[in-house]
Amino acid sequence: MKTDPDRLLVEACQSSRTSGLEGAFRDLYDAYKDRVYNVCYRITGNASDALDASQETFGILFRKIHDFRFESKFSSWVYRIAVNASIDLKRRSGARHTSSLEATDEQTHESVQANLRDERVEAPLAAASRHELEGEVQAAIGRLSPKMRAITVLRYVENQSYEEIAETLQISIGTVKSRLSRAHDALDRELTPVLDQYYLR
Amino acid sequence: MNSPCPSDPDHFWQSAAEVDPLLQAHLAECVTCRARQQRAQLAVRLLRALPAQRAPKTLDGAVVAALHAGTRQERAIQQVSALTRQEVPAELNSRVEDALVWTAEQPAPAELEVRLRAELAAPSEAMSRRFLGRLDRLRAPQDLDQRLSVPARSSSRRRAFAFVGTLLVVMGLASLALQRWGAELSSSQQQPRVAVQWNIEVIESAEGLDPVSRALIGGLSGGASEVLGKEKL
Repeated sequence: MKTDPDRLLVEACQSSRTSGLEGAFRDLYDAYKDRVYNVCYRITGNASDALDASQETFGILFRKIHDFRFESKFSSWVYRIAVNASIDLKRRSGARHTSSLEATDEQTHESVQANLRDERVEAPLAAASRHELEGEVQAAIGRLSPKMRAITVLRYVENQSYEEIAETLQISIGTVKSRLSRAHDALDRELTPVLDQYYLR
Repeated sequence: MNSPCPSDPDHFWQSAAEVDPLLQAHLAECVTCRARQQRAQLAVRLLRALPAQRAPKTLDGAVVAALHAGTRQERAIQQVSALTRQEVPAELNSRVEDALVWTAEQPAPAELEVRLRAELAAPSEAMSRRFLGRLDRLRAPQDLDQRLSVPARSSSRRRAFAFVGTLLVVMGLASLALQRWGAELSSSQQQPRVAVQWNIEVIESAEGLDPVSRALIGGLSGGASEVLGKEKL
């Protein structure tokens, strides 16, 4: 079995008794904060909820890291906590979406950093507003059920393999495949109008 | 020869490297499947092209706050769990015994046997008594007294006025009759003069009347004189 790349940092956290964001835990936080926030953002669909879910994720990590026994990859454990925190947050807040003007601003600024190298994607985007298209895709993800949203984000946003998804969500590979298949159907339904609008006109 | 279209559309979502050679051959022939595969691949590219969101700077502060809150919470939990178990005070035993005495089994009262006999002897009667006896005796509301007192007072006053009025009418009629009778007497002087003696009595109560007068006044007053017979006129 391959050694967990985060093992040393995690063990350093476990051996020390830090009371805040310092030392080895600070290093882990810096290594994971963007990935955690990204997953939370794509599942919750807005910056405000993503911030809350990320905060909760690191709070849980800090409290439970001493109990982590390397039975799975540390990164899978972190993703699992982030996914669950995001889904729980969405469930708690229902369909309520609150985002500050600051968050929207930030989102707009960061969207400029889009890494769109594919010419077939870039060409219509240039004509039809890339930001609008991103919003449509995010909205399509948001219309999926929480479970399908999580698996879609892990597969296509975080580029996880079936095995990694299975480990993260603690489900079998068969379940990953069947859930992903349903997610494909739903995405096909949700994205077809978007694709028709931007590519087939 | 054309191969059949794949039943599982998931294949269209696979990357080019993952696609089975047989499916690739089919895609080269089938326009419909090729369109579906292109659409799926476009969706994949759009999903992968979503910009990576970087954690905002405010997350640092939020996490620090959460960690401190968590530490405070843990400290509170430790303090609560460190609380020692309190010994049971001796007084509790006596209090529990007192409570048990009160709730001890009570003997059946002697009256139960009496009631049971009555029940067995006449079940329906006993049942009626048992259920009807439980009905509360309702007290007349105070409102009723007020409602009754006002009309009664006004009614007695009205009857008194009626009685006095009737009495005056009767006396008036009687005086008219006497005048006429006196006139007839004076006109027939041939007839021997009969000595008539009048006794005028002032009556303060209906009881003072003779039975005939009382019946006459009772009839004229509609019974008011009988009700107010004992009252002072």
